[in-house]
Amino acid sequence: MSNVRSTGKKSSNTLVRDLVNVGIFSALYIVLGFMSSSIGYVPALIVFSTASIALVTSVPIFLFYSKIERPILCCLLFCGIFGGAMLVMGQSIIMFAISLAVGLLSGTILKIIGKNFAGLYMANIVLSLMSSSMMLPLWLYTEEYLEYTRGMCDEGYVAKLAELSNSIWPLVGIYTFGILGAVIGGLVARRIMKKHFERIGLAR
Amino acid sequence: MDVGLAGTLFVSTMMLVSHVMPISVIFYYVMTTTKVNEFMAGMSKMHIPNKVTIPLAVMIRFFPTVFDEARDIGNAMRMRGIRLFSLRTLKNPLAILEYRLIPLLVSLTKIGDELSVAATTRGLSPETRRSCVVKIGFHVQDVAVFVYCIAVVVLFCSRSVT
Amino acid sequence: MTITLKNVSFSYAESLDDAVIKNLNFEIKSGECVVLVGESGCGKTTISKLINGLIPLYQSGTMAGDVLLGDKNTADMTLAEISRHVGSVFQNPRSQFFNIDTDSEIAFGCENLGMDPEEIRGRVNRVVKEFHIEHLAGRNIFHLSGGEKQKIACASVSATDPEIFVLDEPSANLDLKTVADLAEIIKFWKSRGKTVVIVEHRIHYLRNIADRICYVKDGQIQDEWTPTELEAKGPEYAASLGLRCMNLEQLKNKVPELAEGPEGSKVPAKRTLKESLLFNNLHFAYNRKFPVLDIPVLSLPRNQITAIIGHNGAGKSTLAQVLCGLRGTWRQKRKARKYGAYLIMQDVNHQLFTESVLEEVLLGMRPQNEKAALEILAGLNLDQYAHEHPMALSGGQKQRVAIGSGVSSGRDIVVFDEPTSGLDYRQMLAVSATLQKLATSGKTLLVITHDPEFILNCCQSVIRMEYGKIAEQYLLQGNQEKLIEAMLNV
Repeated sequence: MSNVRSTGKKSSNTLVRDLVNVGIFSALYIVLGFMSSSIGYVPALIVFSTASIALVTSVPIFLFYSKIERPILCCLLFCGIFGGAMLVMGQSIIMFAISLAVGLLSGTILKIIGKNFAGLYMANIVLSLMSSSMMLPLWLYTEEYLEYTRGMCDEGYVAKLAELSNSIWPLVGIYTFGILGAVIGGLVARRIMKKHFERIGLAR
Repeated sequence: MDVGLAGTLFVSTMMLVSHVMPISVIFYYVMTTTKVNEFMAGMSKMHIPNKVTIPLAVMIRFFPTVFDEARDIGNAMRMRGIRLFSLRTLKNPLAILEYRLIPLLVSLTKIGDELSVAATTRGLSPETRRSCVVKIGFHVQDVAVFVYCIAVVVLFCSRSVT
Repeated sequence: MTITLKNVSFSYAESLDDAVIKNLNFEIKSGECVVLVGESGCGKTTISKLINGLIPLYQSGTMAGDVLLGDKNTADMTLAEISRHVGSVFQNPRSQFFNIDTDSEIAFGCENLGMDPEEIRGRVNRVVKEFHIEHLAGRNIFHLSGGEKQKIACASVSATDPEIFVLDEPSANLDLKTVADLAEIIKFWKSRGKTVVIVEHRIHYLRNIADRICYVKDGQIQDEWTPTELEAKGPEYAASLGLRCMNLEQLKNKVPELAEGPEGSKVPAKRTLKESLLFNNLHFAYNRKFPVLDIPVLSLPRNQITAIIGHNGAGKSTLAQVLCGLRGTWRQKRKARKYGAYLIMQDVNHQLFTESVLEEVLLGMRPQNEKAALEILAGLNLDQYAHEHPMALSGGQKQRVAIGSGVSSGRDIVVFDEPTSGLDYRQMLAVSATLQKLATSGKTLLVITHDPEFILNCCQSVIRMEYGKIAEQYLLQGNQEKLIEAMLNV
């Protein structure tokens, strides 16, 4: 037979598909992120909120990574949108910068290692750094924060807060739990990908 | 007064909430009232490339869809007698996450695929320049709001100084 | 603009070995209205994708041959370019709009082509007038019904004024009233000299519009008729090819399949039970003045299949939701749990949660009993799929899994929300067989449907709803004419 060829490979036409996927998963990530971080409003669990975000979002992130065709562009956009949304909602510009860096790094990992388990797993762990960074201002802008609190609470309390922010450990805890969440979440996500999406034919 | 670590964290969380709350409300308002095409026109006026604008526009359109789909799935689960807080679900909290998340992801990706097909066949392309029915620009109203905001900030600052 | 398919083969896989389309040569002349029919999976949707350029530009697969629009090869164009000439409307109204409000959505295609804002405004106003959709202007699309969404989709492609329209099962989710509106729209396009290609199962509404009806089988055009020719051959001939009826009027003489009801097969013990199930005070309202649902007494014949008809917004879905305890006051919901109706949703994907068919059936079962579950599956011809993933099955099989989960939950009433939308004749027969079996096994069934052929195939009585109330309730036997009239004139 004449001129047999494979189709759907021309980049400009399938770019829209990638862009739409970025949009969908951004919406889903923001919704899920807010829901799962809400356990942080129980004060004792605040350190675990990052772990819960990473744990819950791992599955959709795995699906997202396996669907996109241009990893660097899509990851940059995805993280940029999240960082941008956080910026609009009152987070610092540093958060935005971290998001872009995380996007670039996770995209590069996907590009180099490929869309196999190792690639998805590592990119997902890198991504958890982004949601964990939401807590950063407590430590980065300690002075402003304490100043603000002083107007509302008594001296003893502010001293306590100062003491807390003096120590780097709670922050380390937040990041550690975030990464831990992604480590476990990645394993769960692999199981779910195998159990569901690969059998349905949504992902390879 | 010794409130302990938990109390400290509680207050700091509340601080975060009180900081984030007003902006979240505005974010929600903007998300629900902005027309997608006006948004896209505004972005292209600011010379932001289509590659950034299209995912953002899709995201705005998808927030209601996420909640719609989640509600339908929740309804189906209720009919099966699977409730969010019951002995069965407490025994296996990951299963409930799975039951909720998998159908949601499946139907969202399906809608997404169909949406990108529909959008491409109607000429949406990151490379072409779009126009917009609604004229977007900086008008007298915008100046007024801008001046008003500045005034509020200045007033607030001068009061807290004294 | 002429559409020419030259020696086209296409496969969704890496090689052409199991091609969906095989060496197809097909020409559609400018101004023609062509309907592609055939059983599911015959390749008719693939042909529509070849025409609107999704193949070869978007869909991955393997292709041979050329598709020409006028004298241009689609392979050399971009989709944005093709969108100037070809406008596409798809099956699912919920997933094909990009904007949140109707006005922007109608303007969407024009904006993508970078037209002048003045020009776009003129076109939007013109299209709104032409389609008589003034009442839909400025609305939130999420609040529209499926039919209204589909009209907006048609208006949106019409605004860019392409020469060719490609519609892929546009009526699948619509009631007969909206289908008639859709027919008007297609007629309007045709009167403007546009080429219209429609892929469709329900063809009755195209009776006075279509020039050619092409029967697709195994990726080839096997036969071709004018609507009059196909109509003359009668509904039995169409059914033998797996096609739906060409003229609903012909159904008036059809004897309902279940004229006698499955009485003979009924277990004698069941007959001693009360003949009807009664429900009192089914009310629902968003505000006091306009009740969405206002039914003082609803009586359902026990162990029979009852169809609910009525136009969109008559309260059919609300009735189903209230019966199943998904809507209403706390007290209504508690009551609903007791008498227990189970809803099979139109989109069954929403009610499949687990990783295997067997688990799906076991999930709502109290106490869980694997043997009983396997029996239920055997009754639904699903036993060989017990360990498959429910979402990996075909649409009909998924629906049966959902039915199985309803049966296992032990509820006595099963409510179906449009179980036959988008199905070909054979699939529809399969669904009605399943439903009959279910009724025989002692369930009471309630079916919301817009499908007269389906009603005649499996229902025993009909409830027509209007403004949230029951307008009439009658036995189907002897009332076929009334049913068809009511459905055509809703």
